[in-house]
Amino acid sequence: MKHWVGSVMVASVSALIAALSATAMAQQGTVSVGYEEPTNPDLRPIYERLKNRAVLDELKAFLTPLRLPRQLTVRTEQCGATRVAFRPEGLATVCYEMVDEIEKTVAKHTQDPALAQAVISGAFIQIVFHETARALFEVLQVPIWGREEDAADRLAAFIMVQFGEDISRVAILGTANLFMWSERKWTGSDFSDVASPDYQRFFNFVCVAYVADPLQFGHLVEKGVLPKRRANRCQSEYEQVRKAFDLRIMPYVDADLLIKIRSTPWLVWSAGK
Amino acid sequence: MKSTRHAAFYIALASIVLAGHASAQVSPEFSNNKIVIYEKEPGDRGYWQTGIGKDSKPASPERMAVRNRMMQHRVLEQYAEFLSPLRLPKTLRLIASDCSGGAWDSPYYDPDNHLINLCYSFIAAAEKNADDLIQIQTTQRLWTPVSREQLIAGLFASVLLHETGHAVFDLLDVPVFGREEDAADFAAAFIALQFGTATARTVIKGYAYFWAYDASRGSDPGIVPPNTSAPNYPKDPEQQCQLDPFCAFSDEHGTASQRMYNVICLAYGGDPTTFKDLVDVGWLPPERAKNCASEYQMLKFAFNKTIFPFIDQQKMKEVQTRTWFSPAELKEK
Repeated sequence: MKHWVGSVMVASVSALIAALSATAMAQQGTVSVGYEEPTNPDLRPIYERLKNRAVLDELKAFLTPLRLPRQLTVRTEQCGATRVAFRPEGLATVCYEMVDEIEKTVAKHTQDPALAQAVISGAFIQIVFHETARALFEVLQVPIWGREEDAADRLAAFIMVQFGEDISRVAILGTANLFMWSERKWTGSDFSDVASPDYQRFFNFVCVAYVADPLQFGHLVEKGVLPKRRANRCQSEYEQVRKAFDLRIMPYVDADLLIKIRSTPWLVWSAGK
Repeated sequence: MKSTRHAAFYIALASIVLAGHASAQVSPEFSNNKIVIYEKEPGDRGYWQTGIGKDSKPASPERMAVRNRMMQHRVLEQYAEFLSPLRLPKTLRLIASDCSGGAWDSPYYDPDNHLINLCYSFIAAAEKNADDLIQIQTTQRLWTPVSREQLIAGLFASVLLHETGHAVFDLLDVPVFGREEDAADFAAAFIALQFGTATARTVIKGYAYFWAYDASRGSDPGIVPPNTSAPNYPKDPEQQCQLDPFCAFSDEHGTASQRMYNVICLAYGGDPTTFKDLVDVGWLPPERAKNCASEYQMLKFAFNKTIFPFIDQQKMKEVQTRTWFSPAELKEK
């Protein structure tokens, strides 16, 4: 009798699992990317550059290990501002205006074409990762403790340092330089902004990078750019992001495809070709 | 609230805690064997007569007076009772002590010992802070009038809830994608909002006024580089960093103003009727206010997914119906 009940249960559990996996397969979402044509002629060169370098196509390939329950879309477009005020769930939007602003900031701070190109590339990666992280939180229904903007930064920083020195150097140094060059001064009610000041964001990115690769980024502590007081805490900050990633994102990552992604050379466009 | 300042205590503390004594004076209906008030000396009810750490000294007569008041109010016992609905996988220890013996020791959670320490000096500092604010209230228009009792109770409760947040994140392995200090503030605000409008207002006011006052005294990062050759320019690198318009942003905590805005936004987002006056008087700018409902929803979603399953709902109802503040502490002015 006992045995019989057991087999029925096993059978129904297997049926349930089969049904669930079928549903999961049917609901499989994909990543789609697109470059919207701007109406503002000033933004057209940015649109063409991004499209010619196929940066979003590279992002799409980079995201192939993700097993998404719903559709995730990443799009570059003319927004009328550096960021969109409202966007539907699961859509990451990178505004041409933001890229334009980055290029102007960089031009103001360096005459070195190699540095300028590296910072523009790194800052662009940061924006794409940040916006993709926000859309990913929605698609995967990730619980967010703390401010969403900081959560997206911490996830972006964590991803930047998982794929070798070439990516982390360009991405982290570009991000860090751009934030350090920020000219916005924060005072009084400015602090009511949902976004964090660029200087705070600088330290959040650098903190993650320092733990992931002290050989490459340790000089930031030696030079006192990342003060010791914060540097001492970075290990636990990093562990916290890693734990959150393992618990909430890793279950949606195909481990075999991840190895393939890790063995692929990325950012061929960042060399300025 | 700035728990890192106490990092030096952690290592020295381990041996003391292991040598301590567990005790229980909480009401039986609110008991929880994973929440333990920890005695240093038998019979001290968890209210240590010393500081903490290797070189801890006996508390001064002033601090002993604070200790006696806390004992009369059963602060630790009530805190344990308040936490009793939590199903914790590991034991959480609660103590009150003279901490480092300093003037502004803030309560903190020590993750190495799973211990929350309520520092006597914090009560004294909070009372001084409240006196100053009551004084300011006579000349400046604040968000809403507040009494001394309400300020002290609200600030103390918000700090306890903030440290509770740190403890819960650690003990329950909660995934925290944002900054942990903000997350702990969010947990405090969320919990406060589940206890009815009067309690919520006391806690949010205590918290908001604390940070507003802190910001008004110049604790947000400045925009002008300091004069490094001035005679009063500090020699300590940490103090120098706080004065530097770039380095000051390296703190893992949000700025005083950010912390205030985050919490009043969550209060307004969670209960727009009770906290409408925040927007009416302009304390919460409209650009942020319109985002607050979705910020609260995001927090509620995170709470429900990661902490709610660890709460005994029957016990929680009892905790929610109990009165935690005195009528004076709930009175608006």
